[in-house]
Amino acid sequence: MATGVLAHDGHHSSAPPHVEPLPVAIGGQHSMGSVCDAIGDIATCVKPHPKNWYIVFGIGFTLAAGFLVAVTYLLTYGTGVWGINVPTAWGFAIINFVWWIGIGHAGTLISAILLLLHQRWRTSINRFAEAMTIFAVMCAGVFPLLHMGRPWLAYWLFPFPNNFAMYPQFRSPLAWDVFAVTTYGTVSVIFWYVGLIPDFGVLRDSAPTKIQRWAYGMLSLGWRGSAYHWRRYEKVYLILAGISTPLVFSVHSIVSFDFAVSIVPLWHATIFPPFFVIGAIFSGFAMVLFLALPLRKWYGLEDFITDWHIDNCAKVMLGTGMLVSYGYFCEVWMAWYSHSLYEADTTWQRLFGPYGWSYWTLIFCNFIAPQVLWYRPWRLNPYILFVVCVIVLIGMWFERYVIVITLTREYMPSMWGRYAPTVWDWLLYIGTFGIFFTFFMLFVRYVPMISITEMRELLPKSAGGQDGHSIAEGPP
Amino acid sequence: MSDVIEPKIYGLLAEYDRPDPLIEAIKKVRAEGYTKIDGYSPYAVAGIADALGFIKTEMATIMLCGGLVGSTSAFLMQWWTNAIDYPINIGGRASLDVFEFLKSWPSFIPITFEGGILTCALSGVFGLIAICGLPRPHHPLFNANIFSRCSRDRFFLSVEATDPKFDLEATKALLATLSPMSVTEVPA
Amino acid sequence: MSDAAANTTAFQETPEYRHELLSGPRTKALLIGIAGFVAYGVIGGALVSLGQADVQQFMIAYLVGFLFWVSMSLGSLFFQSIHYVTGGRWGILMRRPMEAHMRTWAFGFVLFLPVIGMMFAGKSSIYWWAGHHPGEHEHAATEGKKEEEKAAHKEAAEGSWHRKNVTKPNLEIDEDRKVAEYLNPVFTAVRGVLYFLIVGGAMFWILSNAMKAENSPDEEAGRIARNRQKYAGTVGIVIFALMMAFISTDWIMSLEKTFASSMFPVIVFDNAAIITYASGMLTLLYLKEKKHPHFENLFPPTEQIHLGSMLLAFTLAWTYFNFSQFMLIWIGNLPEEIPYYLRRTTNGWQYYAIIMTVFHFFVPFMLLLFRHVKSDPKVLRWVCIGLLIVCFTDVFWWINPTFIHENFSVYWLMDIAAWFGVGGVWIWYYLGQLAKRPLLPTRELYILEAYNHGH
Repeated sequence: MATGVLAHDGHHSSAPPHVEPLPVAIGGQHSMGSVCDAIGDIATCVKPHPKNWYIVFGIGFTLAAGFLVAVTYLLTYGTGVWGINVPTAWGFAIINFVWWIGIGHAGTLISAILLLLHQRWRTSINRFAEAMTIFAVMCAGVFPLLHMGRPWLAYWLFPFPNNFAMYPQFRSPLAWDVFAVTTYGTVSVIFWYVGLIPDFGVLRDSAPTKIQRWAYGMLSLGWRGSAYHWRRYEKVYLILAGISTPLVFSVHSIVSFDFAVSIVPLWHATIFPPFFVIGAIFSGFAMVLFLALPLRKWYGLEDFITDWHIDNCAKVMLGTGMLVSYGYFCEVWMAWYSHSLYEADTTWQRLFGPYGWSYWTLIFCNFIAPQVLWYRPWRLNPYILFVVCVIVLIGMWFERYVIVITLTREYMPSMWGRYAPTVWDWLLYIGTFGIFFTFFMLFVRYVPMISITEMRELLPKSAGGQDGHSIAEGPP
Repeated sequence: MSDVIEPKIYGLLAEYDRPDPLIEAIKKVRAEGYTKIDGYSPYAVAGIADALGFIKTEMATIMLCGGLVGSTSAFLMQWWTNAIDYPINIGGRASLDVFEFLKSWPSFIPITFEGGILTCALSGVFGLIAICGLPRPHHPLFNANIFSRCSRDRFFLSVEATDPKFDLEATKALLATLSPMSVTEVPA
Repeated sequence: MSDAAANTTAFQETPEYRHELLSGPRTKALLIGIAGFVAYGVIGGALVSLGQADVQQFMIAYLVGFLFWVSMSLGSLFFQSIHYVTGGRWGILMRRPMEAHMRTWAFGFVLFLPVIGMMFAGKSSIYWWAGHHPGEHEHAATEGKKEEEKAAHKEAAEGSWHRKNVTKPNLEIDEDRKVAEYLNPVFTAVRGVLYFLIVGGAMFWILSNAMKAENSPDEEAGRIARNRQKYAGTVGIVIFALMMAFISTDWIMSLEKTFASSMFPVIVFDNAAIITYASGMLTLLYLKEKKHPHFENLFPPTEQIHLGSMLLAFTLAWTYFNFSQFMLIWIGNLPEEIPYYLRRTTNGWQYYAIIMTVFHFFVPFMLLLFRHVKSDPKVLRWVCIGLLIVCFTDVFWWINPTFIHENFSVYWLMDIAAWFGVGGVWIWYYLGQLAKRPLLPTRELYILEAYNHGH
């Protein structure tokens, strides 16, 4: 279990005695067949689902019903039921939009960037992280749609030939958002599905019932594992990873442009694009661990999601947390250095104004709390780690809250105001958790949550695997 | 319709439980002059495609072209609608001295980028499906019961009956010399 | 293990062998450095006497050269720390070049002394704050004010993007307090010395710990030192990030009166990363070309591809950071920030910007995307040299357009001469440091060997 300094790079057979053992990517004694069974039987329901599945699904489904109530009420009475008003005209809608879409980014990061970096530890968590991405993007998309007030006219956002003789205003970051989020959602689904095709093939051949065999057979598109197909498949998968990496950066940069393009003090910060991207990865990894820790316990997947994976995710969280903290430092530092009247005063309002408590909550959640992860035994303690993840998720929500709340105190004191969400804001927000968990639990139930195909590559050669050679290491 | 009589069988399957003997077998069968052969594996094994002589794929080119088409049209769309057909001046940022004719090009970059990524991904996945001849839920190979283990833990070499060198008995004998776990006839 | 790998293990690198390898380029570098400084003086003297440049250009040119090379040393702290934290074969290959880069930091301090001089040069300094006295603006009739108005008029007349009729923007920036509280010569110079001490302390700690980790005769002490490397790496990164923010603000951003961009330190960082990495890569490629057995065996084309891909990533990051900063400032169009880009898109600088976009982004991107470029040592070497040159143009771009160059002249020859001057001496010193220790860490050699020959 120990992580060597150069852990993931060692493929050495004749290691000198002082070398620490390699980290474990797959625990236990698995063969190719047992990997298929261990993961596939969950999706085909051969292995019964634990009681907790029903509990979480039930809670999720209930909250999803709350979501429907909130949406119905909103559509009946209009966005006035929310707490938004001038000067804070976006409020919860944009906070939650940015929060959800940020969470989604870890899925793509794990799938794409870690693949390109030849990180073997991505393999067992990438599948459900990608699913998390898709559901998070769905939840995120809900908010701007509903904030429009008349969501049935959402197609006006897209350029299409029309008889109003009007086009979207492409110089607006809100128009960029439409394209960014649509592209991101589409590419995430594609990436996820392309990864799933061979796994559906596995389930087609192993599922116990005829309906399952038929359904998985259709979903697998008749994949039969031909070497010609594999070569093309690898290439496409690798390029998809290659383009998904800048896609993640661009999407959250564009989200940050929503703020940074304006000239509101503390919004117009040039560091916003990378700062937002890092924050997104930070919260996304917190969500990955938040989901992975219970899942691996309930489904007995300790052989596939080993301590090594958990440890690495926690390290990434710590690292991105430090970078986000650098962003907080930079904001205050530049406001002071510039000696610009408005920047400095708005910073003061942010730190010590009426909403100062939210700023210090954010500092506690995102900077102070993750510091416990420096200590390895705490990183590997699932309970401590779980609590830190929850704190980070709350902290990243507050980060967006702090940014949005800036509008209550900016240039002109006569324009200053307050912002408070209503019960309908909260119900809609909590309702999206319902959507998320409902879909996620259905995913766990019907789709292999770990890539069966790639896990078999990780097996040692003696068990028929490839000793952990990732897909990306093949020839051009 | 041609006069060629449909072969009664699709071909022969040799079964292996490790990739390396399959790669060796493919090399030997190719050396014998067979052309309609294929290797099947539960996960991507680079050596199998290499042994088959299928080194370069067309996918990168397809995706590159797709991406270029998408990003170019995304830029032209914005430029034509917002700067030519219905010019609007937002916040005085109608143009920029550098590349005057492109108008406020910096604000068109994000959508240009997203458009390129989107079409690149779409052309990649649809190109893959089309070139691989998928979806094809019923392939003759699935007629062999043993082939269902290909997705699980077996590696297969197939020699198709349409191969000019194919001769049921001779090919079967050849495959038997390549130390397979079994050799199976696949009904068409 | 193949025969080649066995040879690698058998090869014993002697200090004489290293000196033999490195003394040639070392002497050349020193000669180039001296020639560069001579050219810097001669060209500068000629230009000043011909009235084509003013004395300030001496400072500008020196600052450009200094900043380029000091960022190479600073970048090594980043890479070494990252390597300690994340591991990876690239870091083992790059370790000695990075360590040697770090050891040039003290030398960088000597080269920093003239910059301190600039801070105290008063009105003739290139730093506006060096000659700024609080309350100056209250006296409307002073010369400075008039000049400022003239400059503002000039800017407006020469064409700006969107504010053709505005002569003097209304800035809400308190310059007096900015100078009094932060940008006064004494405080800035003291901070400069502090930066050198803090970064130097971190480097010293990392280097001495690395010596223990590799060479300690006591196995237990060595193990402790190796475990400490991870922590040394994290501390190194934190110090690097903070120092980068301060250094880029103090020495570069403060050249502009009102410009404040939180992205700017990130851009300076990325440039430093490219410079350091390209220089480390050139070192490895040189050793390979000279048929050093370790590098011939352990730095094969596959490793070149791995290392080259990182260069590609930094090039993409450069574009991302620069475009974000540019687009946000352009679209925000605030009077405090926009002059930075106004000056850089008028008076011919717009063509410079286009050329830089092409050669700092499109060309390296298109080259480094392809495996056969990265796996060919000769092509890769030219890509690295090209990247060093465009990184120099980037440093040039941060500093030179800030000052109005009245008539078209060849003042930039001075910058190039200073770049060669500082650089030649710097490389001479760097190669001297590199020759002191085995060119690959013997302790971790087996990892590279196992990867390249193990299967």
